[in-house]
Amino acid sequence: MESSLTAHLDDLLPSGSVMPLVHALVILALGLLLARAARRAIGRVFGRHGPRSGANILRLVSWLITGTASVWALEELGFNVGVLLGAAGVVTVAVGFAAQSTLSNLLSGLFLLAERPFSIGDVIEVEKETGEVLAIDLLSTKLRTFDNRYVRIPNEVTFKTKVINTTRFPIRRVDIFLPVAYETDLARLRPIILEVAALNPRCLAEPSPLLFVSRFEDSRVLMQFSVWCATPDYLSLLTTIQEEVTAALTAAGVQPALPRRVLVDQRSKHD
Amino acid sequence: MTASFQVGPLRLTVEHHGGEWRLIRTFDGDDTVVRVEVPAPERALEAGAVISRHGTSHSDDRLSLTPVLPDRPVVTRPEHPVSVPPRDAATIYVGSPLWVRVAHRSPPITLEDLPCMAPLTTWWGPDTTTGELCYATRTFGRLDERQIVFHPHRVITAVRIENRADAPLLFERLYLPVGQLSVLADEEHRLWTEDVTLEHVAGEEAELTLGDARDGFQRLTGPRNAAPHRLFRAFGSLFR
Repeated sequence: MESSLTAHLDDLLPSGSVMPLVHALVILALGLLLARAARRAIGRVFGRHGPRSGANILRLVSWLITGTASVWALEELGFNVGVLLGAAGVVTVAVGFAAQSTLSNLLSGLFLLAERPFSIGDVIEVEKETGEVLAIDLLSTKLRTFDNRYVRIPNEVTFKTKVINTTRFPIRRVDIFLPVAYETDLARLRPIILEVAALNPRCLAEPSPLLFVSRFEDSRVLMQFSVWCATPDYLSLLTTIQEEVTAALTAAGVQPALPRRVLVDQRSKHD
Repeated sequence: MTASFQVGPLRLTVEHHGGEWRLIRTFDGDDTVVRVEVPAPERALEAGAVISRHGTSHSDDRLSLTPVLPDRPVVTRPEHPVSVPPRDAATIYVGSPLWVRVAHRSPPITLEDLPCMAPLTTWWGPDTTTGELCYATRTFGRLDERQIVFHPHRVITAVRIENRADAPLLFERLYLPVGQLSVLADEEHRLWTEDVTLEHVAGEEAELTLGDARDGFQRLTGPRNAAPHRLFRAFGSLFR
């Protein structure tokens, strides 16, 4: 069957060009098979870190293998690959200048993949945008913000600027600032506020809640109340505990700190 | 069908209407009471009550409540730090919060596992970046079995701490992987687990060995996860 196929191809193509064509096709087929095997192997290695992690490395390896196989196949067909590659080099330089930012994004994407400051599903803050990471692609990182907007951030920006990963660790601290009047008995305040933490099921017993004077302001003392929670509980604790603290202070008769100004009548002093 | 159960602080009302099981729970019960009422007394829905609903295609209204241990490890904080001298051993009695497994049909199909007291969560780890979430419990940490105060919503474990190190072992926290333990009942229907031995050699780690159930004890439920005995961080000081 093979000989009949060769004979048939001999009729169609110039003499002597059949075997190189067969070789080239075999090389291309082997290249594609190898690329597929490499994709599977990389998928298995990165699969345990999430369904989309390693997607860019997978693409890059696949392109490299397919590209090498294509160049080899062209060489088998009699093309002068050296000339082609030389021309490609010139084109690459020209395109490189034209696509500087694209390349920068590409390299930043690769560095981000290597450094792994965040993964898909993490909640990050970049350039005043906070959201869940949907994808880390070669050129950009995609976020879904909490008000359900889709944000595309070029990898160059993500790589250069400060990135805060708020879900990296399993527990987080919630900080609440409580302004209280100077007349307030702080020793009396402490058990009232700590009791709120003890009764809230989302507050961790340890690390223990903290309550301390943060700073003295013109007409009030600013207290900081810090409690720890499991990271997924952060938002619900933040919303509930402020209401609970306010309710507990009101129930205990603790007056809120109101802005005040003291007027001194100098005349009456001199009279 | 309605029924009401109380196990210490947990007050649970179960209602079965056609294809639905409805569980209504609060944690405002008396610490010492265990009560079952069928049918459940008429009572208005209390503030703070948590309701969970389970749909089913089965009309079988058989219900079972089984004592189980919590679904996370328990970190016990004795009232005062405990010290075990070098090359010595001590037995400390710690109480873990009891949970109940609510199941329907026969053989039982679990509807839900419920804590018998409001669960208190804590962090167990060397720092805030590595560790695991556990349940926290306070205990007197009695060293004399005769002084144990039993509550219906607590399961007692006798933990023998063997200090094989050349330095005293001082701890303020004790980590107990209760998922590896069973719930047992003694002749007076008080709840226990198997005795546990924690062998301490160095640092804060210990190796856990499970003892056999004592004579006369009845096994009510087996362990949640039958993991092999392992070395883990069992002792800790105050988290700072």
